[in-house]
Order: sequence, then structure tokens, then C-alpha cells
Amino acid sequence: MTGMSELARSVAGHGLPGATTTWPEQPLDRTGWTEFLRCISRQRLSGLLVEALAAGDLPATPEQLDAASQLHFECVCAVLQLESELLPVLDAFGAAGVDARVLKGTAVAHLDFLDPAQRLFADVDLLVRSERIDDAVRILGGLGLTRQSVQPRAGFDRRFGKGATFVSTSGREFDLHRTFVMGPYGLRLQLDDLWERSDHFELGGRQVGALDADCRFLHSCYHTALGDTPPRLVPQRDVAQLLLSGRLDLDRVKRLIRAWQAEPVVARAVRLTWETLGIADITALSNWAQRYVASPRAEKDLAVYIDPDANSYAAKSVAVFSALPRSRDKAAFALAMALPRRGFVPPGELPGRSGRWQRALLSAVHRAARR
Amino acid sequence: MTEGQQRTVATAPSTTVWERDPHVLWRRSGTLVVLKAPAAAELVTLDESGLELWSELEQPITLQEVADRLAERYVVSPSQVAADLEPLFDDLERLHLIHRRVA
Repeated sequence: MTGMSELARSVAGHGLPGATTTWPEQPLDRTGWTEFLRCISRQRLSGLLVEALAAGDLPATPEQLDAASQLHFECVCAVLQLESELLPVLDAFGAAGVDARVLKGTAVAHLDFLDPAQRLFADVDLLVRSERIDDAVRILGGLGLTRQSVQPRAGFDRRFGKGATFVSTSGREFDLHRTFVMGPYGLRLQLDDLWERSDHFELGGRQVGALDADCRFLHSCYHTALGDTPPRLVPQRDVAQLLLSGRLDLDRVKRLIRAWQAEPVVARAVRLTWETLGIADITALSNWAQRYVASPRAEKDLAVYIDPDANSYAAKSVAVFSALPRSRDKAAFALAMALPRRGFVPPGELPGRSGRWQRALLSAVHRAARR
Repeated sequence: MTEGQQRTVATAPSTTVWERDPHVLWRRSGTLVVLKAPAAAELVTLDESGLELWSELEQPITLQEVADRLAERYVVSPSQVAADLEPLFDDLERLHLIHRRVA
């Protein structure tokens, strides 16, 4: 890890109780600052950077202060435009009776940070119930948003998928979810638990629904542990922000972890967060996470998300196939993967190169049939 | 009401209060505040004093009350601040960022 990304980690931990942050004693030189600001921009941390600069934690030249303010201003403008596009979507869902929960950045910014400008985001994530996902897809299409990839077969979104990604006419991304992630950990989630409770925040004169704090924390863990490789800093900040807020019902969190078989996910997320942000405070959950040892099967499931050699749509599809408990579902899933409708391109694959994941899945089907 | 009876209506003196349009999206950006009215394509940025003004408008408030508070903070005459605020309030109203109502 370079010095610049270490400094970005200090920014990500800025203001967190118990975070051990290290700051340079002098402003960075021109080259270092340019690299650092690029890293901050990539990690969407300008909100916390301007706070660290204003607090005097990070020394900076007047030019550097201006550059950081300008970057943050641009990010804030982008967030406002995104939220402005979210409102008609929520109105349309409401008019059609499609219950929705705003996820990730939008919700966490408004509900978990003192100033929403500290938590920036570049897309909008929405959760709908599985049985309404086809309606939600139609509504988004009706609003002029374009779906990035068609579902492999009718009913796939509702039964097996994570959701669908849409792009608005202005190029902004909307991720529609029915579960947190694709693959085995997405299938093991007890989706009704996500709708059991909710929190609300005001946005543009409306009361907007979000997951309750326990589920927001768990979603941050999924985002941290199973999202990008290497894990991004912002979801790790969310994990720490929520866990250290003292607002979680830890007994319920533990119940949900057990029910969703999410121990490997949460342990990995909390461990990563504590290490990356250098958090000295020990909580019951961070203590558990440090001591948790994943089973070989859990390691294998995690690998389809985090191992660069195994992390692909094909690997996740094979893992989904294995995780499906009923042979009827296995058959429907295998059919959808082996004979998808025209135009289906697996996320991350180039059009016309879908043979790799089909072969991988078919080989898994054959292996299962031989057992 | 029968003939000869008089109706007495108690009338409180009307006051115009100003408040943020609840449909406005906004964020602080350092010492600035960036605002987005629902129907507007463009964003509006207020500077440091605008941020203070925006904070004052969190609850319904009269122009005179805002002027008094800012005047106290900057040690200037309330009438001078009020005179400066009037066109600014009109602009913000025209941009659908705040509105007035009679309380």
C-alpha cells in the first residue's frame, strides 16, 4: 500500500471514535498532492477530506485547500443531481404501490452521518420485494431509464438474480435490488427480514424509506466483504460508523447473521474495517470477528467474490447452482444460464463471449448429475 | 345570526414568514451551500453568508428576525441588513428555493 492510500485511510477514519489516524506534519508536495487527490476522488472521500482540512489535521497549502474544496463541490453537485433523479422514481413506485427502500450511500448519508455531505455516492441503489421486481423494472423503463442487461430468462430476476442496473438519459446509474449480492450469499439472505423494520428520512419533501440500522450495517458488511477487490474505503467507513454508533440492536444483528449464514461475510467486513481504519476500540462484534475462523466451504463461497482468479459471473453462477436447495430451482437456473434469451450478456463479460460462463455452468451441472 | 346581532371577529396582526421550500435538495459544501429546486435544471450556490441565511430559514422566520440576528452577529444596523435581504429573498423565492406565507 502506498503512502497516498495510507493517507486516504486516515481520511476515511477521520472523526471516528477510536480510529488511529496518522497525518503528515507538512503539506504534501505537488506530485504527492495530485496523486492523493486522485485517490480521494476515486474513493469518494472528499467530504471527509474537507472536514480533516478544516480541523487542521491535514496540513495543506492554500492551493491545496482550494483544490479539495473544488473537488468536494463537484461531488456534492453530482449527488444533488442524482437525488433529484431519484425523486420521480420514488414517486412512480409509490403511485404503483411498489414499496421501495433506498440503500447504501443515499440512505447512510442521510441517516448515519452528522452532515450528509460527508458521505458521497455515485449511483442510487433501491431495494424492492422479489414479487414486485418485474413491476419495478417496467416502471424504470417507463421513466426512460435503460436496463444494462436483459435477464437471461423470464422470471430470473424474481427467483435468482440480485437485481438489475439501469442508466438514466443523463447517464446516472440506478441499481435495482431484490437482495444484496449475486451468488450464494445473496440467495441465503432471508429477504423478509429486510422488510421487517424500516427507517425514514426526508428528501425533497418526501419521507423516504430505508433499511433499519441493523440491516444497513449488515448491508455495509456485504458491500465491504463481497464488493470491490480491493475493498473500497467508503463501505468500510459505513461499517465502522454504524457499529460504533451505539444504535444497533446487537442481539438482532447476531440473529440475522445466523439466519443468513453470513458469519464469514460479517467477520471479514469487520476485520477488514478495523485493520484498514486502524480502529483501536474493541466491541463485542469486532472481538468476535477477530476470532472467527471460516469453514473450508465458507472460504470457497467467499472466493467467488474476492479471489481475482475465481471472481466472475461464471463462478458465481456455479456457486448459485450448488447453493440452490431444490432440484426444480436448480433445473430452472441451469436452463436460464445454458439457454439465455438473445441479448443477455453476463455482467463483466463482453457481448459475444458468453461461452466461458456457459461452459463453466454446464460442467457444474454435469458434475452434479454424476454425483 | 339574527338581525341586530354583531359578529365579533378577533383578528391577529398578520405576519409574513419565510421558509425553505421543503422540496429543495441541498448540501453544505465547505462554507457554501448548494441548492436544487425540484423543477430547475441548474443548481444554485450560496456563499458563506448565504449558508448562514439558509440555516436561519430552517424554521419559519420573518425577514426582520433574520435581519436582527445577522445584524447582531455582524454588528451592523438591522435596517441595513433588512434592506439587503429583501431583494435576496425575492430572488430565492423566484428560484423556488424559499417561499413566504402569512402566519
